[in-house]
Amino acid sequence: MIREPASPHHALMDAPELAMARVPDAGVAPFARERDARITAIVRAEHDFIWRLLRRLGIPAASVDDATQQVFCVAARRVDDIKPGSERSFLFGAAVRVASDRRRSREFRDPPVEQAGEEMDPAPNPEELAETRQRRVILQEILESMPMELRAVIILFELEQMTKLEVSELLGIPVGTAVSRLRRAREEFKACARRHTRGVTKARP
Amino acid sequence: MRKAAHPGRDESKTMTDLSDDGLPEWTGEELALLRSADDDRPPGRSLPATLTAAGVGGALASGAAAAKGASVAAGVGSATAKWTTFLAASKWVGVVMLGGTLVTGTVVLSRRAQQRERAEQRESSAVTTKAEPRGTSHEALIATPAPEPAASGAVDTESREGPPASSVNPSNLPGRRATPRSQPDISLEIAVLDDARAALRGGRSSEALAALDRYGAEFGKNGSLRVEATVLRVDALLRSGQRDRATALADAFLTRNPKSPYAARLRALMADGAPR
Repeated sequence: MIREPASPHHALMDAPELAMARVPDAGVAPFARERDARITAIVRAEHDFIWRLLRRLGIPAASVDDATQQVFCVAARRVDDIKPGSERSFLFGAAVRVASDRRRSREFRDPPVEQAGEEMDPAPNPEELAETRQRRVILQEILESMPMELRAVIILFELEQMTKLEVSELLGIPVGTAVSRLRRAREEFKACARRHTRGVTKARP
Repeated sequence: MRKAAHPGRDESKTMTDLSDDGLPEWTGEELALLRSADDDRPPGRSLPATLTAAGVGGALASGAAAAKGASVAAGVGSATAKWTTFLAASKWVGVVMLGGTLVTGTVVLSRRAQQRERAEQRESSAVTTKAEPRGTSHEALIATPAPEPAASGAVDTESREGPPASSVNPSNLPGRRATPRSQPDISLEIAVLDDARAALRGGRSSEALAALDRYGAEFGKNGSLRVEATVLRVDALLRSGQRDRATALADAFLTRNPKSPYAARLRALMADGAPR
């Protein structure tokens, strides 16, 4: 436990906190409530999507909760700038940026070779689970070996099951571009998977 | 056509030919690789923690509220249909693969078919009528991330005012309002609590307490986030070795708000002293 000298203000300031605790909802302006309600709705609607997106963008299981919070903190601060209907687009951009920042940070330089399955729920068939976990590690390695623009369409279209239009809107590109990018992404994924399978066969007896 | 394209679909008939779009088809092993991500989903603690981090943790009125996520989302103006579709689409993979083990997913599942159908219809009409979709362009952002300083790790992630916020350039957002400062109070509150949280994560508990003092002084009992501030203060007091003060504050809060969504968090904090 870290022991630090007490701030001289503490004795004074505990009291207001107690007072606040007594009246948890008093004094909040109606528009602040509206704003909070919107933030709440955004978090609830998009939390899982952003969490998964960050995972697939390579954020390790150990820090994905934190990264998710970071994305939504940005959204909360900027909620007045987010046009209704563009929430996911905004969050997507923020998530890509957060993942990108983190990739440059230490957590990415020490690659996220996860203990396969550490974050998975228990399931009935252990063998099947182990296989799935192993595959997920491979999937992650493949995704991380792909250029971001291709990785994004694989994640959105193949994993998140978004439609081509939704993908194109989210990325701000024409549908035709999205489709051709998807084609390249699949080809690249397949090539990576083949390379990876060969590598893994050698490396992991 | 998309039936042939997706791992969650009936792939038995998709292995041989190119789809309508000329997309290369997946092999069974590739599909298995893609599917392996299906059950990589957030733990239950993640959503409440994110709500709290976003400054709306108090909105978690009760456990029942969490089950109403989709309907809450339905209140988001014109985005309603699209959002629920997104939500459903997002959940879909996991739901199908896990056969209903995903509790919240089952709620969404019932809407899945019609929503996807709607989405497909939107897509097919847009493909023919719409060359340039609206929306934020993240192209530059994806292709060439701006050269910003690397994050210093998980320690201060929430405190970083700059990178993510500035990276999603609001001027790119359609219909951006000129004055986002209509809510200076809550923005300031969030900023101050972010400081406190960042200091806590960095092990600088006296700095955190100072930020919380600032919060108390500036917002007092009118602060929208005062409950969050209380929880942070308990945490900071614990970490600075002032367990007695922490206990007094936590007990007072719990006595008055035994059913608060923060109660469990406070109890957990008190139970393990100064976590991490």
